[in-house]
Amino acid sequence: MSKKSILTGRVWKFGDNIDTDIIAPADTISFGLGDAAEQRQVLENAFRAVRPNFHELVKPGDILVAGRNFGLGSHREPANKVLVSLGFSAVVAESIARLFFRNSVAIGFHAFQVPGIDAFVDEGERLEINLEAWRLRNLDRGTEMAIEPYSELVKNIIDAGGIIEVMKQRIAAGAVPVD
Amino acid sequence: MGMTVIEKIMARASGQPRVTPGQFIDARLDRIIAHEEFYRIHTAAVNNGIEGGLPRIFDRDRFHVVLEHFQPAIDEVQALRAVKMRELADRYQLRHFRDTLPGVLHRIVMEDYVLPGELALGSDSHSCAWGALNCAGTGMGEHELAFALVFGTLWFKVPETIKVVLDGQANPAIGSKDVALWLGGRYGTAFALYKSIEFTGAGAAAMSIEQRFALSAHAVELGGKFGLFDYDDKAAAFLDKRKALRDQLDGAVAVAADSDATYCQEVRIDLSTLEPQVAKPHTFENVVPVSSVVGTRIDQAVVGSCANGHVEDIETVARVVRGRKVHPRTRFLVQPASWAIWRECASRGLFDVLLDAGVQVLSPGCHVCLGMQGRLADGEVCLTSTTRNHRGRMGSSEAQVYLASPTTVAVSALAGVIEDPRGVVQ
Repeated sequence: MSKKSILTGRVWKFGDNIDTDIIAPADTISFGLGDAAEQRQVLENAFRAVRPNFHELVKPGDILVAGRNFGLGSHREPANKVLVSLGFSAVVAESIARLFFRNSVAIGFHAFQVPGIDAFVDEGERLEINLEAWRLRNLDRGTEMAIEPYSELVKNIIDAGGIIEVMKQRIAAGAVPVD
Repeated sequence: MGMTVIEKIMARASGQPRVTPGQFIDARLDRIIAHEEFYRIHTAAVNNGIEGGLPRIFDRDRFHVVLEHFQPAIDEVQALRAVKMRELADRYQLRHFRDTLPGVLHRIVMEDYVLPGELALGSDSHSCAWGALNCAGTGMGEHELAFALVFGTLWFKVPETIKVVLDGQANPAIGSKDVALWLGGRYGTAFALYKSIEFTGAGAAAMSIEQRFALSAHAVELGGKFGLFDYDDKAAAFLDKRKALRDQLDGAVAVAADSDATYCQEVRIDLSTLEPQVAKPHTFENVVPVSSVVGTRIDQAVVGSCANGHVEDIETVARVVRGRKVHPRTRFLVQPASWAIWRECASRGLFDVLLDAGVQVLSPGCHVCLGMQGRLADGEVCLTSTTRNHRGRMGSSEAQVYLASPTTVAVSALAGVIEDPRGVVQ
């Protein structure tokens, strides 16, 4: 997923301040064991306060578009991972909360901050994200806009598939100091 | 050109004479603290193919695990996870593993571990609370903490800094919670997105250390990465009570901003003009002066959390409810943030005052703030001094959660409706 240079998907749209309690309600993560049972529970309850049964609607490759400060609130990574299990290929928002953005990078999931995205695309339209040209295309309207490229550091982590993959590369290269 | 507090700390941590906002650095970490997410840190490594988990811990004298979010366990999943973490504590030979006398992580680590001038990571989003002690603390997820624990380093983008200058003397019914809420209402939840906040000015210097805890904790509700205060006599007096790791305390070096440091924004607040503030459901920016929500019925009132479960907060409640009764249709829950707080409040008789008034005193922890206890039914209304009023956080997504200061909460709990504390607290 993270190596693809062009992502295309149908858009699901949300407003400002979509917080981690909406994305992954605390009682469903229950700070559990991170196992399949927990993942299923988070998946079935993701966004339930604003879109019940959302997991039945999203198709693989769809793109989540949101307003200001998407993912604010908790540090909880299940909120990032559930976007993957819902099938999303990326999140594009006017702005993204700091911890949510870092966690996305850390698990190798695409997260783009694009001021103006709200006016650029409507729900149900198809969006194309070009990661070489760093441009967005609204395939239904035929419009385009530029996006800010990832910093090299962030790009390297996402391309590796997340920060644990970077750690594995370092371990394989013998870069772990002796304890 | 001078540097802000966080620029100085990040320059030191990355071994450079100076850094500038926007620069990417690889920073050496002074401390890492985890709560129950310690389990996910381990499994992030295992589930991604690192057999046996983390190959090393960067420094066992500077890694602390505190089981606090879910003690006592409320279900078998949490109980099982605690069992697994006790096994992991042995397997990783942890030197600082706190499994008894839980409370709220941030209060515990400010009592016992974090230091001025440090760059420190926590597995919880409110780790910015440590900024009240001049510690650059911030939250991180489990994947990044797995990496940081092995190498003792992590990447950062040096943030810009917002200076919040507090001036003037507040009405006695106004607390630092009102300052945080006012900032949320005025500037929104993305006010300090990717930025560090420095709280300064005569009003900040006059603020008690526990009032600072609340303001620093709420830096994250304002979008911020850090929420820093200057180190002064009040911070020193708080730290001087510390019994653990005195040698580390002796080596701490506090950091102050240069007088010619560059700020991306400066906000001045005249505390004497501030009214009590209330955040209506469901965001920290949906803020109004208390006068516009006076009379709103409340079913549950709460004082607690990393922001407002401190000694002074409980003192405030005791002062308000002394000799009076909580409204018969309102449940008033008070949850101290640590057993040290509990001990002090108990020995001073504050809990007797609360119990006489019909307040429920709960054992220290995070439970109520994130809806693990005291959950709300459809249509119920809660007025709370905890950290967040996100939809569904404290129970039903059809419940209404309002945020306010401990003073406003206590006064309202007596009335059974939201009340302006200025008429009651002189």
